[in-house]
Amino acid sequence: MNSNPLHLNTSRFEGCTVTGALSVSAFVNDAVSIVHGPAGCSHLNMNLFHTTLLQHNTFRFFDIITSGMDENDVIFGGEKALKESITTALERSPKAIFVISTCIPETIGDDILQICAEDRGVPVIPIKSSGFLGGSFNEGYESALTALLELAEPQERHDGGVNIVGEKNLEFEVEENFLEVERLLSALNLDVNVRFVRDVDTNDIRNFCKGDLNVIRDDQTGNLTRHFEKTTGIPSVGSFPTGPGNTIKFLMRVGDVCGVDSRDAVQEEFALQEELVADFSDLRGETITFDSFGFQNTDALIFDEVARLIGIRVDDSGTVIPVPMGMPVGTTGLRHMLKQWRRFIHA
Amino acid sequence: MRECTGTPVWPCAMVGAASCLAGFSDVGVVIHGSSGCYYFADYAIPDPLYCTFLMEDEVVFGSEERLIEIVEGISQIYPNIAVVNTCVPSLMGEDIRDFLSGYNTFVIDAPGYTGQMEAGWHMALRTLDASVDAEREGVNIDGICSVDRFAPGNLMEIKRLLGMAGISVAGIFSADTLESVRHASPVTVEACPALSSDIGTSAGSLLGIDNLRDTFGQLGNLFETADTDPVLDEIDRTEEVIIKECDRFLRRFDPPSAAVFSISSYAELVSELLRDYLDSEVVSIGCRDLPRSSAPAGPGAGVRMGHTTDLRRIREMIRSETPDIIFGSSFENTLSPETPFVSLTYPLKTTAMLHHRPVAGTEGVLSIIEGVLNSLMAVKK
Repeated sequence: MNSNPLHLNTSRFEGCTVTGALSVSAFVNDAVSIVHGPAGCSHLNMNLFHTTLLQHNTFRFFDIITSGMDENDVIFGGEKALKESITTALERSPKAIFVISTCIPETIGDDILQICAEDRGVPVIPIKSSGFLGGSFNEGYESALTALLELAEPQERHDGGVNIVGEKNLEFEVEENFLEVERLLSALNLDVNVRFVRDVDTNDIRNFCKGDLNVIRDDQTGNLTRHFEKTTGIPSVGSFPTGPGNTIKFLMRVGDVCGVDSRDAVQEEFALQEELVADFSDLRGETITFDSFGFQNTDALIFDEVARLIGIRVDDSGTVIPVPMGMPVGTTGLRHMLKQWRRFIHA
Repeated sequence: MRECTGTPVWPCAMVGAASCLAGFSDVGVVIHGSSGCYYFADYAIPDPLYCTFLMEDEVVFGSEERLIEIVEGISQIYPNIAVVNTCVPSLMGEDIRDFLSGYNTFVIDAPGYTGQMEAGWHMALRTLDASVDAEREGVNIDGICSVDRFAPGNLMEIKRLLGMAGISVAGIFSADTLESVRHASPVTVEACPALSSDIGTSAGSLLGIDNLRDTFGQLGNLFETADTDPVLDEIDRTEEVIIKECDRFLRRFDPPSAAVFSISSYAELVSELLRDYLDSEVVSIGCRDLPRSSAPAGPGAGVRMGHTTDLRRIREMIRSETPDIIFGSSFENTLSPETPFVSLTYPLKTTAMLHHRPVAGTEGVLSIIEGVLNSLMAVKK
């Protein structure tokens, strides 16, 4: 599609900050997200979310509204349109309003911060985005997580459980991944404090600081870990566990941070992994190779580790296995992945 | 006045322009903008699209180099290249035409803030340089928009009916070549009048029984060698089938009330069919585009053709009127999943639609009535 798909240019293909920001803010149940820009930008994202959720068998819509900027707004400024859309949002009695800007107000210089700063009785929180001028999907996603943290209130005690931070709400296995992390935490007798941000109310977010640990979905840059630790003082684990070894390490690390003895949980997990090896013993001696389609992140170490565990050889001559869009989470995720490997090997 | 300030259910002008241009097999379409804009256009439009995938640097320092890089690449594939400007490049005001002067390109300024999909569609039509060639035989077909899932079915059905009448097909707006529509026939038939090209003299719409009769009657007068009798006979037989099946339904059940959401031409078609053959009350009509007239959708239809693309407004209309059946997109279907539903407009994600189903022509009318009866009967069993 593009004649210059160099690695240097990969951020060209990574979508818009608005989608990333909305993939977080739209999942606050009692809030409204405003997309400040032309109506098409809101439609684009609303349609994407609608289609994605249908694939998750979920029939619902989000409160996303547009400021509906038109040619007049582009010429004379879009601030009036934004103010009107905030008024429209307030008519829905939200507990918070999030303002996400597209590339147009950034280009014409609308003072969004000033407009959001006006007192309206509910928090009106600007999320740094600016369409593609603010980066790509991931920048929007991170901006939204850090902006929504403004709703958290300081707490005297940090013993409320574990905060799950930055779940990828558009990911097909988002709920299964959460359940796996919840299972691992439960093996350590730890509860989830808040899913920040997935189908929560603003009151849930206010209690964020009651948590004694943040488990971040995937923080490859370390930006979120640094921000959340600095802002809340709560220690963080920077990713969901992927791969057999990492799953064990995850249990040990969480146990250490939360002051919980993890030895029993680790032994139980080793036993589960042995069961996994036994269940897929029919694949022992098979040969496979991986296809990343030229762009997906191939965490070869994890795949090699899984292959070694089961007794599968990795070689270019083997059955081609497509690399999954997201790495499998925990031992349950590995089981789903191995079932797919089996289907391809036996196809 | 801003077209939508709620939750919009209809794409922007950029998508309409790209959809129109991508329908021409000898035109490579470049979305000049960011990946976010491209992904959505690519999601909505089945034809191939290209993109400059702009980044901030190119906005600051100029997009010339990037645009030339992309145009150079695809000029090896296509004899003509259309560059569709999205919002920010449109504001940047670069002289794109100048720095693409070495290529066979045309530029369409269709940023999302200029309007909705149909606005972009019409903008693109105006840039095609399409014109009538008095010597061109056959009739043009208008209103074939690839975002419309019924467009392939409409095209097949219209070709079939014209073939039955011995009339050849000339230019197709837009599923053709640029060369063809630049020598369009003087006569045009319309698959979706809301997306009319206004190229050639319209012989009429092919939506609905009455329009079919009028249009083929008109074509019979315009083309001496045409034999429209077989088509007119088929229209009569189609109407008989519809009357018989609808009467069977009405002998057992009350006329259904209906809410219709779609582009205005299809909304009008469905409203008339429901009124004429099922004695229905159409309680809500929400047009995605601005209807040409706000008159009631035919005598006795009761409700005016209103324009709305706001999801919340659509939800209110459905909740307040509690129709027996809903026509629309997967948005409407999701708002009221328990209400019998017939697919009518983009997007259609809640129902599988694999074959080329028309709404135009006799098969289109039959398909709509079949959908109505089946979806209503499914809940009455």
